[in-house]
Amino acid sequence: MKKNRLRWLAQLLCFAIFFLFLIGGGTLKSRDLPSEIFLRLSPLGAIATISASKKLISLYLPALGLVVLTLILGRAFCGWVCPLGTMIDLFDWLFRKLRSVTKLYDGRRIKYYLLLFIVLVALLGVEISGWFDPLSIATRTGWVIYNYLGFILVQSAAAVSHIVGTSGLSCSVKHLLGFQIEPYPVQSHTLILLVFLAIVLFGLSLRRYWCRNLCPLGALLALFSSINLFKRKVSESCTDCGKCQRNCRMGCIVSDGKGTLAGECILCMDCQSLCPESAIRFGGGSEESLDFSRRRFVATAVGSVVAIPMLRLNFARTRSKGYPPVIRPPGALEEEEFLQQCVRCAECVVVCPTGALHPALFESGVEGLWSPVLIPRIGYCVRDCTLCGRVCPSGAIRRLSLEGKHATSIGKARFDHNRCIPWSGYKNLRTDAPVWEDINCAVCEEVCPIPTKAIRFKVVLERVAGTEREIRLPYLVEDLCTGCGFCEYACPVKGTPAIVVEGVRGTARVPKGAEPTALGSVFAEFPDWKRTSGPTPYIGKKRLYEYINGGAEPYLTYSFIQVITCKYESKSGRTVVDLWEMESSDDAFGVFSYDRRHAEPATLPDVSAKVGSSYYLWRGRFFIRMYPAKPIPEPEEVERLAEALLRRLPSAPKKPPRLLSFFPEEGKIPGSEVYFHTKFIFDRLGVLERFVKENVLLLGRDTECAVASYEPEARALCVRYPDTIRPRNALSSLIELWRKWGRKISQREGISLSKEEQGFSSLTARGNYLLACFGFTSEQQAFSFIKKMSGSVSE
Amino acid sequence: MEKDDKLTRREFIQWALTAGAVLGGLGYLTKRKRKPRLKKFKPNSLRDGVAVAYGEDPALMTERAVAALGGMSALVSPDDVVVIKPNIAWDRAPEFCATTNPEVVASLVRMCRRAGAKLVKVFDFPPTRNPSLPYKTSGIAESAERAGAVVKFVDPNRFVTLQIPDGYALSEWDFYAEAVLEDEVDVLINVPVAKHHGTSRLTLALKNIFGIVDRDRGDLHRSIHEKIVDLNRVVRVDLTVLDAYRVLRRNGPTGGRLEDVDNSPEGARRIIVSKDPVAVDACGATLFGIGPKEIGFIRLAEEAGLGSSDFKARGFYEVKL
Repeated sequence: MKKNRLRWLAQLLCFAIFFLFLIGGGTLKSRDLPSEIFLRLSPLGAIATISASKKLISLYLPALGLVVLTLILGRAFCGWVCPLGTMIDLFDWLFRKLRSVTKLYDGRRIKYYLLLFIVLVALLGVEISGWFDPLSIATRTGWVIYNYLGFILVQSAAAVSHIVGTSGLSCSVKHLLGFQIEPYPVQSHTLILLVFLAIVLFGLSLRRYWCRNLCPLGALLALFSSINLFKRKVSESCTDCGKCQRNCRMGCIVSDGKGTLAGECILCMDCQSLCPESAIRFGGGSEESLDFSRRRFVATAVGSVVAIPMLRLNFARTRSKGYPPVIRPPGALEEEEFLQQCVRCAECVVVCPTGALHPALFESGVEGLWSPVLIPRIGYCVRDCTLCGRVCPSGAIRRLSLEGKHATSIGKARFDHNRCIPWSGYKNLRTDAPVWEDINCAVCEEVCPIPTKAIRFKVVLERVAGTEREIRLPYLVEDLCTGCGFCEYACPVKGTPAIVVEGVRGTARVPKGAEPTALGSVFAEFPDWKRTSGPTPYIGKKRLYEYINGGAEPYLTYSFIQVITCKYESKSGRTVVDLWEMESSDDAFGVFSYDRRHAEPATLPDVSAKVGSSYYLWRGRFFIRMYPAKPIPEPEEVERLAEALLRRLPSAPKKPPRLLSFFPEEGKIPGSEVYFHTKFIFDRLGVLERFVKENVLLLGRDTECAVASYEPEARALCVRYPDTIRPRNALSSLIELWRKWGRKISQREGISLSKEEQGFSSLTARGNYLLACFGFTSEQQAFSFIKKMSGSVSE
Repeated sequence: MEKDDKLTRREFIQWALTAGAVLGGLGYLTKRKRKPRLKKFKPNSLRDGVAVAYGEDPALMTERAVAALGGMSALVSPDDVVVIKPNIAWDRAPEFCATTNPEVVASLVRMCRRAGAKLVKVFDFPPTRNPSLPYKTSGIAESAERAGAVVKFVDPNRFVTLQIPDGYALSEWDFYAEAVLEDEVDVLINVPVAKHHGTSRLTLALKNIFGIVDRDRGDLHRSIHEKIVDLNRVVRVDLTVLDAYRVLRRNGPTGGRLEDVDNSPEGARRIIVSKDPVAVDACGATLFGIGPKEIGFIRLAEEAGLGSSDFKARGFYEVKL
């Protein structure tokens, strides 16, 4: 009896540790304690994930320890440690009076076939061990039951506290149970509970039915236990009373107590204390082997091959054209790899501080059952939290540093303009709407945790009932969006939210934002050029005024990050070098193209231009401007410095903005293109024959524009808008302006043509684009030019 | 034996009636609505007007600014229950200026305790899913608790629906009982932080009331200026302490970039205290270079008679440390 109690204590202790590790997972993990250690003990999970993903997973090292333990002790883990086993023992004890005589099929070999099946499908790339691994089951079910219990308790506490009429009883209950948020059951929990229910209800027929017949981890441990040192040994004093055989919870005692089935004993030692003759000892015994049928093994092998396509069924992925139909936790591997490594334990679900992660049902296919998905309407991904990656026992979710997490995007938000309050309200604004009733809403912008806001506004002025109304339409800066889902969580639109996050490939990264690159090393001392001052960096738009106060505006219309300035001196003269860093290579080209307007192409390796001893160079996100100071140096010498500087730049050459490729090559003056965003630059290029105060072309930070010059005096303009409405509006307002100037306008094949003093112009809008040309010598020339351009745009 | 096992018709009816009565009674009790009695303004001997403290030590500045109006004992009397409502809305460290400075909160807690308050509660109802994250990251929970306050999360079951008479856009809304009801709280101190805000341009004292209301908070962001004023018609704030020790100038109200936080003595580094929340907001708006009347909710609040935007009219006390 004494040893019996010892086992019970061990089981209770292990279960208590398991349970505390489970509910305290987040707290423990934030202190970097291994709260997921039970899952990492599973050699089944290790074998399945390693053979499915074909890579060595070092996180599973503890599983090796369990294998060694099993080699010595046999299946003691099942009887003494396994939390699911403890649960089953408890229910078996509760059902002791109800146990019926009708026996379920007691087939011990099933678990071996199941194990074989799991390993074979894993080798073929589908990992489903988590469905059957008792440690995964225990973790998953433990959390669900705890959630349901918490839900019931918190709700009844709320009712009681309402009746009593004071103090937040439900809050106290919540804290007592260790919930940081309201416990909340979702639909996939039901299936998890049903599986658990089935496992314990088997106890109505046979004790430890799951462990003896179904558990694949048990089967695996049984295989390892064949040489263990604690095999049951029955001495000569046995009277064949059969008491131990009748009471064995695993049913592993045969031939009236004398024999033991191989790998079935879980070392519970009940028989030792039961035996009236004290004939049973543990250690040094022998076991009778199970008989396997070759036919069944072959059938299992064939079955696993056949099952692969069924497990791979994924309607959701078909429907979404291969795009991941769900949002995975941050740091999750690529979808395929992720499913091969995820053991469906729901540890990440447990630790998620906002309750955003949930076990999936079939959203990500059949094989994705119980894999974690993020449901933004329930919760969102906290920006400064990396718990899910730290707690993942199999490395399906990578451990991310905080910086890595910030740069990882799990999804992208999308606006539904038909539901969004400002967007739809703007379209449906009544002319008699009361003045106070505004249709602005910006909850998504407000909660967006990106420091520079991935959701921004464009402001539209609308005249309603005689008053000018400011309507702020939110839009998404997709590059910055990490898909955290806070906007969808907070969207006040009832039902389907007006902003929805869609999952993207697990490892999609946010392009590095406005962080300045360390560039000090570019400005080295060169043999013929000595540094006289600098390098001095000016980081951020505000500091730019300190450097070129009064002249900074053109540069600020591009996405400016920093400028570093440095002075050099050679034998023949001096030069000042400015190195500009922009957020994108397009913008760096833009600044370059704007600055080199009056220069001629130079012969340096990258795109470059020069005028006298001034040089303009563009490479990637960088733009270098070199201008001479007195005494003026030799151009050749400056060119050598430019080459040396370019070699030290940490960037590869990039292609010019795509917009430039729409300009026909024929007759184009080389190096005449200018790329820009706003009206500020447009006005300085003098494309229209006079200065226009209004922003007729509706240019802004979100538009891309390019202008090129053609022989002899013609100009071409191409503008790309983020939507298709603005180009049409810009087209009509420009035509209206021309009419006001007294021009005649004719239409031909959707192209508007007009005659002005300097020549013929033409104009058209195609999709997102507005195309125009000015100053051609004949109407036919202007027409065919724009035709050619719109042809290349529609390609 | 056999007779005992069977339920007679009479017994069945008795059982059914009793069970029905108990369940029905419980159901009634859980649905019953009490008539809420609103908190009144606490009678006090504080000076009218606005006090501004400048300096580098937020705790000391708070203390001096309150002292300039007469000290906390002019407001809090012994055995009062005091509620301090800072901005604990976001999961950000204090340096990012998305939440109230924890030292300002702690300083207020200490002052209230010294004035003899029986209980000082500190809470906010952040829009984040998990309130424990901002409570922890902002440092307010820890520093307020150490100063002697009871820091609790808002219990979502304890909101009461209150009528808003003559509201611009709202006729009733749900308010947190512990901050607005007479038998729950004697003194309410609002401790906002000065921030840029995407929707309402600025978030200061009047906007900070969003943290003690529930129902559909997202919906409050349409016609936000009118709704801010309407909510403030019900809430009786006895003292407003605006934390402008740091000022978030861009990308509010969440922030997250140190570049957006103003730490300069010219633009920030001050604590603004007054009984009049409108005056505090008007004074706070000048930090952003915005005239008080340019902000919708300040203009409307003055029209609604909640205070005066001419913050120098009733006394302006400056304390330099």
